[in-house]
Amino acid sequence: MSQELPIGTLVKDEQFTLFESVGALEIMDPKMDSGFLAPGETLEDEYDITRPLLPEEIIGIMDQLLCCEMSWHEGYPLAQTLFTSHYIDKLLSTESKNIDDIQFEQGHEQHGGDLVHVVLRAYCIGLIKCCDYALDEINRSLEGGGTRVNFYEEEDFSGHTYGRELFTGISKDSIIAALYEAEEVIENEAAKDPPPDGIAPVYAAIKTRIEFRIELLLAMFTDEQHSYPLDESWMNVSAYLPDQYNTHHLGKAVPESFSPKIQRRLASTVPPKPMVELSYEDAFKKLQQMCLDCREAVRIVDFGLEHVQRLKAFLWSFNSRKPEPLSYPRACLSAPLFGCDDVGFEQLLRRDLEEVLLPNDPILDPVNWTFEAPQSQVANPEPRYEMANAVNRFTQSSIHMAGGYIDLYRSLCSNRCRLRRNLCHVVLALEEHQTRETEPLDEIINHLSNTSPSFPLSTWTYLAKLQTMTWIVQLGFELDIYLPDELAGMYWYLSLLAQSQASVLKLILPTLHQRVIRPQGSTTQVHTTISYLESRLAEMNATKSLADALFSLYTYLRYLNKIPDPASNSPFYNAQQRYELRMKPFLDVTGATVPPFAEYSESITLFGPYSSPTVNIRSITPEYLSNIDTLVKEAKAGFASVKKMGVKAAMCEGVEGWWMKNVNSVLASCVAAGIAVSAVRGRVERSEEEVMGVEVLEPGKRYHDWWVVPKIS
Amino acid sequence: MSKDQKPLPVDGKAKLRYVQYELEKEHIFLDPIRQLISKDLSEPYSIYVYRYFLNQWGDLCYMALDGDTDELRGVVVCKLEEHRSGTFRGYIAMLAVVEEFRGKGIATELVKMAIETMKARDADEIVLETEVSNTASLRLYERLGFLRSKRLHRYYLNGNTAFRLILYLKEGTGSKKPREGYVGPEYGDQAPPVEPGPAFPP
Repeated sequence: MSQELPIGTLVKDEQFTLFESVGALEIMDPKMDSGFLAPGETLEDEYDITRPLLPEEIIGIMDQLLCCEMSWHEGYPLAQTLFTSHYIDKLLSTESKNIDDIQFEQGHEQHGGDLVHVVLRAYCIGLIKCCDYALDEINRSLEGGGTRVNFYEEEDFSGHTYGRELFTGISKDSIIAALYEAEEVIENEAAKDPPPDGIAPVYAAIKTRIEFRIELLLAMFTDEQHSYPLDESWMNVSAYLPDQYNTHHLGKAVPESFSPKIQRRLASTVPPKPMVELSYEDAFKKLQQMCLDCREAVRIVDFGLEHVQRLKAFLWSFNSRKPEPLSYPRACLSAPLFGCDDVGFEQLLRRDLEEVLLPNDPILDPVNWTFEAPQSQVANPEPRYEMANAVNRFTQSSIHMAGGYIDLYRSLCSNRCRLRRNLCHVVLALEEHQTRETEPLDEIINHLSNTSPSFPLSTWTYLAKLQTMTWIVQLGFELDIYLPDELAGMYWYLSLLAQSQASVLKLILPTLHQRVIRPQGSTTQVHTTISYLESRLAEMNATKSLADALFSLYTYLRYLNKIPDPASNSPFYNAQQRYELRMKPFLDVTGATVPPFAEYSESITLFGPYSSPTVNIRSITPEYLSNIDTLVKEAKAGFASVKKMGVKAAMCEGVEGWWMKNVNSVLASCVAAGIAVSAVRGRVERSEEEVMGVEVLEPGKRYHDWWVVPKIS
Repeated sequence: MSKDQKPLPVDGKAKLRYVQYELEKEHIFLDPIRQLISKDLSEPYSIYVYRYFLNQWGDLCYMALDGDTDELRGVVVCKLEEHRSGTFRGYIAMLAVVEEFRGKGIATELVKMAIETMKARDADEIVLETEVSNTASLRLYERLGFLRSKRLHRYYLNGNTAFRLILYLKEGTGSKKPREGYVGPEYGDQAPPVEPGPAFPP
């Protein structure tokens, strides 16, 4: 066959995909061929890891290792970070059963002295063990209950160890003992008489680094009795940070002890890639933030599974942290949560139903779950058994479907970008659940309980779906997905979603008020739910008002030709197709169907084409802007009432700070919107539209990232 | 289209001609294309990546050549195939223009030609990724009508975040469903990152 092909003809296998082509290597290309050497280049470096080191060099190496460690936490592979260190490489190159086997140099004769063989060695072992703990926590968070779909996040973390074990079998206690021994060596060195000038702070700096490593090991340690690190441990770690930072300048870097060439020895087909360069300044900042994030994340165990809305609020608050928490702190949050099994998540969902819709309701009476299944089909089944059975079918199918109830929690534990994308899956699952499952089950329940809200499962699912859709749009603003010319339309749509949520809440509330008027047993829980729903209703009404205000304001600015619309002259521009693309996550949704394009188009061009409006914009200005003012005032009053109802009504206890900051930021957005409207009015009244500046602020520069209030100048 | 397109004057002096790639001319153009694209990449693609695209969709690759010397000034590389979502999806994989020739609309022209060809071949949509910080690239595509559909955290090997940009070419694209039993040709959600962002200059 080869004889029949002209030279240079390419043979392509049908199965050779892009994925494979990206992974393919070219021999003799220095960036791809792991064995390729430049003239005079050696395959490996000559670095003597048993050479004696100055105390200053110990600091330099420790600090460089910390930079590598933080780069790894940031998502870069070990090969380009910690595994570029000759010291780390040596310690991991042989399999060790106990800590005494882990040496830079085998045998009794140890060149280089205690600073290398006791101090640096103990530090390196401690560091590798910390990586082992991190890896374990991250793996547990991924493997835990309810891994249904590919919600993995390979972009955030590289767990590849190239076949090396990161001292998993070496006990923490023996490592800590080695670190104490190292501390002793330093103390003895420091006490030597007479100490050379200026050496005392150097030894103190090394000691701080050893103590920091001990505290970090204790904080990251997870075992059976203590299945989570406590927040105090993280405070202890943080306590060692300032001293480390302030003594970094005492170190002397040893760059030759790191080399990208070590990658050639790793079990990997990938050629050596450049070492990741992270400055000490940046690494330290990341470490500092990681400690704070971990301290917050471990609070998950205090939240427990008792109060579902509170738990969700905590997950939201953690997910909203800026800068975004790294994978390890997020794993500290999610590992305990997903340690929960399917039954646990079913209970969680039942409590969710209870808190939102069915407080102290006969449908969820625990007694219902104590009845046996009927023996034969003829016998009249116990109605309470039937009820429990219907609820069970609902919870079981909800947690088991892709994008279902567990995946809502998975979404809330992912990075911010994935949160929005995963919520799109959650919406589809809720949609499917609502159209295929809930109604027949609701009919059983309706038939058996006449005091409860009718169609509770469908109602809960519909409300959850609307809430998720609202979040997706709001996160779209935060993630800078929408272009300036889309803002009017997206706020118009947000207003519709908020309104739909409000109407569902308004339907539920009277049934609960009935329960208070004709109480069956305690009404405490009913009151709690009523307060919660009222808080949500106020929030949705205010959201609608502010969304309407911004929709109107951006529409108006559009007519003044102040919002760029760069695509309108493109040969590929098609407004209807843009709308379809934008509404893609919601196209399959029923109940709150995406409005037809004509309706959308009419709303955002209510005065005709932007370039040739059917009315004189100037003549309608006073009335139009005063309408926006009214909307802003309504929004402000609405959010103020949410604030007044308080954190308890909102079921956000435990994250008071976050909740308060959130409400205040939205209130500040309302104030900013009011100012923007006045500024526009002023400019137009003075006929200065031409020189009026309109700035669409990017995320991070807004009072609240969900509210893009234009800055008028 | 455009195999015999007339030279387009781009600015006062530089005359360029835009041509479709041809497999028969691999020996002339493949190396310059590789050099141009890999210039801005932190990690190079193997020759197989280029051949993967050019051998299957060479007609979706357009080059801007110097009107006199035929030197390569810019290139766009694409593919077009059924996506697992059920759409017939065009994908802009790489776009690069020689540094001294940037800011003259060459990239826009190349992308337009590629889109026109994919549109003529019945594409439902055009998709690509670009770095969130690459404002020049975002501006180029958004001027053509692309919208941001997703933000992809740490999408590129260098740890940078990307936007996925999409342009629908047909009504009803958003509602298309996968064919029964159809399994997409690619591994995972998308092709692995092929860094069109870094390849396109600021």
